[in-house]
Amino acid sequence: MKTLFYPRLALDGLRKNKRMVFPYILTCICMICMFYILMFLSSDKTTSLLPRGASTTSLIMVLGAVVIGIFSLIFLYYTNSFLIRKRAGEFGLYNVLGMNKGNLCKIITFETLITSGVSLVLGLLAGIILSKLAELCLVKMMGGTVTYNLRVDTFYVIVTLFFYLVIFALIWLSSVIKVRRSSAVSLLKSDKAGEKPPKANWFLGLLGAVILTVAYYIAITIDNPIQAIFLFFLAVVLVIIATYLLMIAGSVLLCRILQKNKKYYYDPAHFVSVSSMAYRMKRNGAGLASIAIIATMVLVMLSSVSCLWFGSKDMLATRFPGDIDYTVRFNEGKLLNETNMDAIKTLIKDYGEEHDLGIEPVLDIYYAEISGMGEGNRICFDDYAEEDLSTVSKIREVFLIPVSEYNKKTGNDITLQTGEALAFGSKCNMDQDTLELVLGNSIIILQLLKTDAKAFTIENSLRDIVPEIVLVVSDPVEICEGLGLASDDKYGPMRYMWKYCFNVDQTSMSMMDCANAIRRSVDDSLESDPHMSCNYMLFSEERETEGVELVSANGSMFFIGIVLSAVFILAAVLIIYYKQISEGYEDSKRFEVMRKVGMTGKEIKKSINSQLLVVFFIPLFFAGLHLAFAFPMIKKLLILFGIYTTGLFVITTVISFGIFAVFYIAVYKMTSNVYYNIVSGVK
Amino acid sequence: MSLLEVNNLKKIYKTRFGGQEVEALRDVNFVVEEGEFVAIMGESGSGKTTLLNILAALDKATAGKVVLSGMDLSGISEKEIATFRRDNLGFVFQEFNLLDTFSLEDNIFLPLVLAGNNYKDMRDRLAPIAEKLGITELLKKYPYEVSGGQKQRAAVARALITDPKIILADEPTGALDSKASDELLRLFSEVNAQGQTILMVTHSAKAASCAGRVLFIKDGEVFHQIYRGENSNETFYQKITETLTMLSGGGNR
Repeated sequence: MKTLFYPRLALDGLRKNKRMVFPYILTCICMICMFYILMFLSSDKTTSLLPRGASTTSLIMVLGAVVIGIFSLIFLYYTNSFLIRKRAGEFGLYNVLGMNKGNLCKIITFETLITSGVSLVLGLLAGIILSKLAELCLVKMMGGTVTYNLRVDTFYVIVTLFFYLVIFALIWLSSVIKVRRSSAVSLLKSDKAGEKPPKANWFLGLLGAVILTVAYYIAITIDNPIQAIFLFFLAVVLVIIATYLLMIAGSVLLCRILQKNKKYYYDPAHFVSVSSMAYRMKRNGAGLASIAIIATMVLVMLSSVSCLWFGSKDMLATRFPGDIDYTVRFNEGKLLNETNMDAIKTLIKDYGEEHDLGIEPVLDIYYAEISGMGEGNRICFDDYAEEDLSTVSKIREVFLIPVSEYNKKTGNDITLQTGEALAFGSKCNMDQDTLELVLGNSIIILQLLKTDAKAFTIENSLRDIVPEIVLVVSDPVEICEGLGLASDDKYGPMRYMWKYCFNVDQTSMSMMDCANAIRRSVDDSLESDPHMSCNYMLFSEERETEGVELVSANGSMFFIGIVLSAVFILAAVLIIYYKQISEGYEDSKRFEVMRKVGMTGKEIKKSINSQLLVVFFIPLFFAGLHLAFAFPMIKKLLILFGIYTTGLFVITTVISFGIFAVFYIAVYKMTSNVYYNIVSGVK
Repeated sequence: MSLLEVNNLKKIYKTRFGGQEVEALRDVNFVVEEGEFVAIMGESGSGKTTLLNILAALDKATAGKVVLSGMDLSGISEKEIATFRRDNLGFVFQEFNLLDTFSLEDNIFLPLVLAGNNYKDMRDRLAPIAEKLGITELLKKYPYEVSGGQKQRAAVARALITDPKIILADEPTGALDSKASDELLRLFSEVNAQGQTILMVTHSAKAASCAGRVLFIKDGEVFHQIYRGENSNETFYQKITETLTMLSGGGNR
């Protein structure tokens, strides 16, 4: 009998506190389950089922598991310290009744053994069962072949088991240290200690507002996607700091300012709410800020990964205009002429007819492409250091297009003299009268003609990342040679380019083979041409193979985004739940006093209700605000991933927010019931 | 007409599943005149607190009537009861029942704010009361920052500020040290001398000896009552302790 004393006491303690312990165990189970599933999906046996992108998917899954692992450690530690604090009174009583610290630690040890044992067994069990489902979803999504046999990955079971055992051991250690350090009296009193009135901290409150403004300013003023990567993390850190400051200090400050306004404050509708709000925010500020940040994280993740996934098709269309895209680069300007291009077009056409490929051109354009640094009304083509962030924003991609090509594309009939140009800038202003092109000592000045023609752009994968200037001129080669730019250097600043993209109607071989076959045939034919051979390069890209790689990467991002969102939402729900419970216990005492002093039950309920509502929706409000300001920045980042359309991102953002809000309100309904039960139960 | 009349008051508690019945008040009758200071004494479990809860309209009697200045408490609807309590009754509790989210000033203002008074009016009302109770300097402090005696004086100010017909005090000295108790009782006597009716429940003979009349409750009935008359506090105290001894002796019979 005696040997079972402590385990029994531990079990009893857990049962008595089931309102708090059950959600904790549930969270442990979910985290273990998710961790195992992601590990499972990263294994070769799963990724080999995917059509392509096995290594990318595997990497993304492992990264996801690492995120969940780190998050579990922090979050379970936080939750457990909350539980220990709530139960300090119980331990204090045992202590006073004659148990020494060693006995208390024994109880805690048994409790930890029970909770971690249950969590690990159920978590792994759920993981093993659900991993198959997750695998099916992933494989189906990427268009792979599905198998239906259940597989247990022993290696990852052991990894998960070991990892979470370490986490539980750390949590156990921290509880034991906490109990060992405190005295019986402090344990007894720890949840009843009188509370100091919250002081308004002007400095921290205003600091929060200032930091938030700076972060928002950064987010909305970035117009260069490459800068966005650097500044995104800065903005995220600033927003996190600002959210905590505002919720902890700013909210109390606001209440104190409202209290200064006698007319507003001494109104029956505001009196109780405003003053209790300061206390509520002091206690809950950190928790609410965490919820707001988690909510923002989930929203950013959901909206961007779903935009990536649902935008994959558009992305492919932009990235690959035709089934097969050829880019021909000429080493000399004199080769950039219709005759040469027609010769290659004929070669491709002949090959197509011979093999019945059904070739249909979709894009055909030639130009000279130069990268330079723009400043005022001059563009300089000298070398620059790409690593320097301050120069990044000055980089301009300049396209010199012959006026004949421009007329052909737009149907206009414009004639230009030497030294005249039409300029179209995207992401940079081209309103000035002249433009100076500079390389070393040579300068060419172009008169920019005023035009009301529609903006003109070139299909190009860098568009929107780097500001682009399209210059329509009478002869691009003349300008380049005049400046002394040569196209023969492989990675030099200037290239004579011809893009020729076409669709193919054939199924007899893979697109990659088809593209290679055509290229080889063109190369073979041109080898005998003395002008052309060795003076041009032919690159080919095709949508089928490279596109699938792209789509599968987006697919795994989408998948992992959903999984991580689920984990974070779970954490947010738990924080909310614990918040409601602890508030319930505190408010029940206050409820009683107010009733005795002469408030009607209705008045009390109304006041508490409005406070709960405000406290509950502050995080959602902040999440929405953060999301709105992050929007332009995330849009820039998505451009780097090849999503150019704003419309889709607006839709995914709105839908993500909508789904999250509905879910959040549902959680509110459920947890506020728990709250009211506690408040009225103690009464 | 008397200010407060209590007739044949009866209160029976039932355990939740209707099993045992506990008779807290059997048949209580007494009258309080305007301007009186009445103490109610009795041992633990004699029904003092039940009686006070019914007088405060916090609990409903099983039978009998409580009439406050002509109004039958049982006739007031649940909706109006809080307003009635706010306008006619002032409370002083053993545990002070100050809200720790308010400064002392705001705690005192609470009933007035709920009644919709404006700030200037409240301030004008508070100034003389705070002066009398000696808490003018403490008004901006929070309950957390002041002593028990000071908290109780703030609670008294909260009871007085609505200018109630009667003040109901439940063991007001119970949580105070003897010095703070004496101070509070002196204040009660002073307030009473200015015409404020006070009904105090206590089991301290010392506290009761400040009252003008003491009612003794035993087994749910008013068992005995004594008047101060021309007696000093000391002699009245003597009489009260004698009565208490007699009461407990009678209980052992």
